[in-house]
Amino acid sequence: MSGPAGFKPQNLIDPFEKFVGPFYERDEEGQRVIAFEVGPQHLGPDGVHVHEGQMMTFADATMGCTAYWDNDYTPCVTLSLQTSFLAFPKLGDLVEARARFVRKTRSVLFVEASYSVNGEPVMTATSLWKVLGAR
Amino acid sequence: MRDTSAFEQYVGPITYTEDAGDTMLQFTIKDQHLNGDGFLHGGMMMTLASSALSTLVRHVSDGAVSAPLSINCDFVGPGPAGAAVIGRASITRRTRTVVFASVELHADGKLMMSATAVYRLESAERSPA
Repeated sequence: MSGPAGFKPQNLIDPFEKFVGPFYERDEEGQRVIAFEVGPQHLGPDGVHVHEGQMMTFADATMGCTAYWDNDYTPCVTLSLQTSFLAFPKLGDLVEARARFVRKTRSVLFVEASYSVNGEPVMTATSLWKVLGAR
Repeated sequence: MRDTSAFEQYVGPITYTEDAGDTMLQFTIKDQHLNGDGFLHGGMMMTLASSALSTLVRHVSDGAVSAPLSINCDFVGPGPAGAAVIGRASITRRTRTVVFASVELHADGKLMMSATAVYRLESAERSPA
């Protein structure tokens, strides 16, 4: 699958991310943008809008890229994750993620992200990560 | 009751039952649900938590359209491959327009995740297209 224009497919490692993917990536003046397209398998009970579980999985995966890749590939795990749902994307929508560090300490990382469809915000998320091996 | 949406069918099977007004969930961790370390992926944990919460909220909303406004998840412990997951979702408070609810997930008897959520309720006539 070639994916949306301007994006390249992400090389996903986690079996569950492969299962609910594919995810795509592009660079936007130094900001990593990660995206997925809402497919029929992602829909919630109304059969129209994306399931919040897929949105939170995307939140975990995309903030995890920042927590892992942008911290010298130091292994880490999610301690907590908070999402606010502003609007629910529909079948065929391309959901884009932009994540950034809020604070980095040796043992804990604070990452936040915003999610949009066609430039309109659909979700905001914050997360807390434990750096493995750090005390 | 099984798999109330396309996404739950795709990642499931997930089974729901009712117990004293709470929604109970049952699920078995398989290979496609894992992260790179061989444990249940956080995204699947949150999918289970939110699916139990949504099932519960729909059950108490008397036909109103419901949707989550916010969900807050704490990853308390790991979910080993093959483990049996049990969840219990409970209503904290219900008003005319919002529902507060919480859920806990256990894997092989050990606490794996706790989450709280706020849902909005809208009468079906007033719901946007």
